[in-house]
Amino acid sequence: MSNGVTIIYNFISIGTSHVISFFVFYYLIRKKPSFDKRGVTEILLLNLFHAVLGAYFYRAGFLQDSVGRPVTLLFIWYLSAFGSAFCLKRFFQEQWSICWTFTFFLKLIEECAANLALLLDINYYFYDLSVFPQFVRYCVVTLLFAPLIDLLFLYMIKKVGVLGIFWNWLKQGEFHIRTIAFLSLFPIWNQLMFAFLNIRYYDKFDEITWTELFVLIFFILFIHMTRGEMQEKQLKVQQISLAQQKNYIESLEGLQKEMRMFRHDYKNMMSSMYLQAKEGDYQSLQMFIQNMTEDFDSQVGGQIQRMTQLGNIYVLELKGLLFEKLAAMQKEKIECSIEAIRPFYTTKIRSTDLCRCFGILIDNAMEEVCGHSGAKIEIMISSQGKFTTFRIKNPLFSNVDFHKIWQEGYSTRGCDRGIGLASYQKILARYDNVLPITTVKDGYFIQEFKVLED
Amino acid sequence: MLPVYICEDDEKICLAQKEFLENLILMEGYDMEIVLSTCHPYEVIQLVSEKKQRGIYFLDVELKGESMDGFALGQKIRELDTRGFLIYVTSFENLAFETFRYHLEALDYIVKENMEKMFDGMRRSLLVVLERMQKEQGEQREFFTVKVMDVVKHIPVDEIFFFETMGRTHRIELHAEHDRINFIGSMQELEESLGKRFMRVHRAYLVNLERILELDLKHREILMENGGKCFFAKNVKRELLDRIHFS
Repeated sequence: MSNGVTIIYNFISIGTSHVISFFVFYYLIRKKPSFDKRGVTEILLLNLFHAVLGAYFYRAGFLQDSVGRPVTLLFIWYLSAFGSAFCLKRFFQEQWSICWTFTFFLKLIEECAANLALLLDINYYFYDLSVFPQFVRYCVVTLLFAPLIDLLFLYMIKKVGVLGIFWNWLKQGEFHIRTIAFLSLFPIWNQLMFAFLNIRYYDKFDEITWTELFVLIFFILFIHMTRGEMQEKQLKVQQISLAQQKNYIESLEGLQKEMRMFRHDYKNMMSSMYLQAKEGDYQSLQMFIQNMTEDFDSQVGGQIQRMTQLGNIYVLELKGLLFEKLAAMQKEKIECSIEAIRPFYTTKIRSTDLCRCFGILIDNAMEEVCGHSGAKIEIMISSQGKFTTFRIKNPLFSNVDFHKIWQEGYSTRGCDRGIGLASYQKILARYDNVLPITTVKDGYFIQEFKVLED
Repeated sequence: MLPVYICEDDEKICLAQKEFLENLILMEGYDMEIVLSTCHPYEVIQLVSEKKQRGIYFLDVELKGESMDGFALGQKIRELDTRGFLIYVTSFENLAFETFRYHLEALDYIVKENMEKMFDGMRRSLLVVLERMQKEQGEQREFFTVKVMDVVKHIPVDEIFFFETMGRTHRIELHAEHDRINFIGSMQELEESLGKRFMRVHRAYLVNLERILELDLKHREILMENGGKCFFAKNVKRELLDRIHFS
């Protein structure tokens, strides 16, 4: 096989792997990649470098050497993984850790598929690449069957739901270092095991069997680990929804109580109105009606208003959070209004992130107004088709250093309190379609973040 | 003469509002005129698009039996009359003033609990309108206007410290005395539109030269008056020093 052919073969093989990982990532992240000429050139150059290097190693006979072979294979393997991860990083601008772990996950499956393709071809051990028909056969197996099996595997993994679990785990951003290390070191493990077994039981095991075994072990471990996490999460969700229902019932009961009280007064009012009308005292009657409507608004109107607005929020996690915070504010005697004039069904931010961000902002607002009677926190959730705005406004009582509040550890009220805004920023920075705004105006502190929804 | 519009779905209340405002305008000698009082929002839209004039609008939030509510009507009016005065009249349970102010820059919100209070509210609103218009005449400040998704923000140029790119494509953060805003834009366009007071000291920074506190030439850092820090590139040092001395 000439140098040129080897390079072309390598180039296609690496390219296929990148393309598959790119599209799977694209499918999962549902975000438009940003192509630019420079990025494409960089990746093509990297691939070319890789292909030439591979051809050189092959030519130089490194693969025949008992020490050279594993080292070369490892080197090539990591180079290819780096290429894939770089490709994702460049086009999707995600964090390195995500790109890297994702790439390894896909590489694992790809490796598995490639080995299976070779195994399916009975005489896989005896390819003589200098003979043309054999070379063609090799090419068909590795360049056509292997990717097809890879895609089939991916499809199966998706159907079973493992892909979804993996993606959720990845997006959470709280990685277990152990898992990443275990995953990243997989080729090394693989080679070590192979070398070890080769010494002990000569020729009984080979690389391929080992890879399959390793993948199996990894999947079992992974599923075991995430399942525990998922169960925990489910439990949490249930608890939240329970607490939310409790809060909801409580506020309804409160409303009902006040309505009953009002109805009691109302009977008396009616009879005195009846008397006034009978006597023809229309002026007093007018006054009376005025007072009555005012009383009604001040007693029950506020609660009805709040319930009407909350009724427009259909994202349960957020609704739960709001009920929880409302209950907390009631305890602290903080006034609060909620506005959601249009139904809010869904948003592009994950609801856990939304709740964390909103929770941080509400907590900060509560901290600021706590202890000041008559202070009111105004919450607005405005769903306007293409855009959703989340906004919190509270009066300012302390002098905030507008520049410093973003720094970790800064707070107007002593230590340990200032992590909020720093992590708020960190969470939102993960999203391309979210723009945060902070304003101090007329003695109010206003925090908002806007989400692009298309 | 400022045209006054009333859109209210209860005919009796509509009439009462009209009579009250007519009297008030006559008695106080305001330079205003009621041009329309109706329960149909599209009539308002039609007249506003014909008049093409800044107006005062008293709008009901709930418009029963109509194809749009007061909020949607407000949005339509804003498209036609960006500087008009929107005043909302509504029942207590639909109270959402912050939202109306945020999206429509509504001027005031009147709760329809009883007639007397409603009239008081309307009287007060007109006073606010007059006050606002007087203030505008004296306003000389220069504003930087930026669109963030569906809202427009105005920030006094002299309050801006610097702009910073956010690593991601086209995302810029504005640091000002009372605002910190993320928006989508291009540094080059900002540089061109903001003029001489601002200087692109680094690929990632556009700095207001008038709000610089000090320079750290050794570390190539600029300390702004708010304590914020920016970096400047090697090749702009000369120009930066020159321009600070001039201003």
